[in-house]
Amino acid sequence: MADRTVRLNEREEAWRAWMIAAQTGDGAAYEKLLVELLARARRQVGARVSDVAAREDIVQNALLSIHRARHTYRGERPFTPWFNAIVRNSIADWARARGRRLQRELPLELDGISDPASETTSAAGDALSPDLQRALEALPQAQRQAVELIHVEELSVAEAAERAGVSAGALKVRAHRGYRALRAMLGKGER
Amino acid sequence: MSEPSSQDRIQALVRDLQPVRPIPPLRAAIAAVAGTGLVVIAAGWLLGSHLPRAWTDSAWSDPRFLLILVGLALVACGAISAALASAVPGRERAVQAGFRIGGLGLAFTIGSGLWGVARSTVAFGPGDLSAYSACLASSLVLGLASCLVACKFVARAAMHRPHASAALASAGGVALGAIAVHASCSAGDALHQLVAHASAPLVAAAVLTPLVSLVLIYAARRAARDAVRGRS
Repeated sequence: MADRTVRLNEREEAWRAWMIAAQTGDGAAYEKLLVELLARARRQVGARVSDVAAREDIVQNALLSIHRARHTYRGERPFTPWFNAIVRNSIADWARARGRRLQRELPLELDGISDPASETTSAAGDALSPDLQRALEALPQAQRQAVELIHVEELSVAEAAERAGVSAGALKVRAHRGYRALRAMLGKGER
Repeated sequence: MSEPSSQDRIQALVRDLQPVRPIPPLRAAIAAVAGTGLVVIAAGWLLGSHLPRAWTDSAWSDPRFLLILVGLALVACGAISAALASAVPGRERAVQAGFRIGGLGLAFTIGSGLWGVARSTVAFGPGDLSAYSACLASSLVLGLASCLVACKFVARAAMHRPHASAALASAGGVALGAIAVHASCSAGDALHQLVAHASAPLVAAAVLTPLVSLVLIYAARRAARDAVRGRS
């Protein structure tokens, strides 16, 4: 127990010293600090976020936040609470962004239409239900592409927009229209 | 399009490293904001505006009057501390302490105001509205400078929730202004003191928050640009 406390204090002191050095522009100290913090951030995020795919994004955002907020650390204060607060804020930001995304997107499964992504096995549309496959094929090319990129290939909006060669806003509009048309074709009507 | 790995990210951050100047201690920032408010109030006195009541005035021995004054001081102290601490990672305890102090102050001011209104027999007249708005406007004007100085500190730190920080900075700054107004205002009726003096921090939080949020967001973007240029 005493050994553990000594180790924690030593680590805290090392992190504090490295951060103070980083504030003066010492790249080597900064790199050592970030490498150690990466492992700790992964543990903290892993313990609090169940979405495995999002964990590394959150960790990277936490690293970015540390970089942007490094001037807010004062050497006379303990380092660990400062770092923990940044990781907590990164997790909270992710949760808020996910909440907003879920509100914006139209969840097909809520209307009794299964999520196409959950039915795929490999390539786009390989294992979609026959009804959904037919409805997808009946969509205009631009709308079909938008729905497939986001919900079948599971790309982010930015990636899907880049792949389709349009802006993110335009892609979201196409996807939205595609969902609406799918819903109408599958007999669920407008909400 | 593949995402960079965390190791790549670390290398990029190390390459981007520039020396930075740490933000001032929280205590110094609070003192600067409060000092600005006091300077503005003192400047008003020099210009003959909002001079405090004479020490012989009976109001100074009225506990309700004094409780509102102490309450406003607590609101100013708590809200400004919470606003400044909310922008510094790891200062959650200071934020909570600020909330507690500010909440206690608000309970004092509103409670004393309501207590006075409950015991008062003075009827509300239509001419009172202009007196309320004049006192509220004076509090806003006197508190604006402190509010903006608080915004400067918040924007330079790591602002996380601009609207909350803006509401706290507005309430704290205007509470400082309301102290001067309450100490100088000749209107002694309880309803006036409740609506125009004790409620000033709440009115400020409601009215100024959208505007101050915009100022904060703009100032934070500017501070981030300056940091990139190595001026932070």
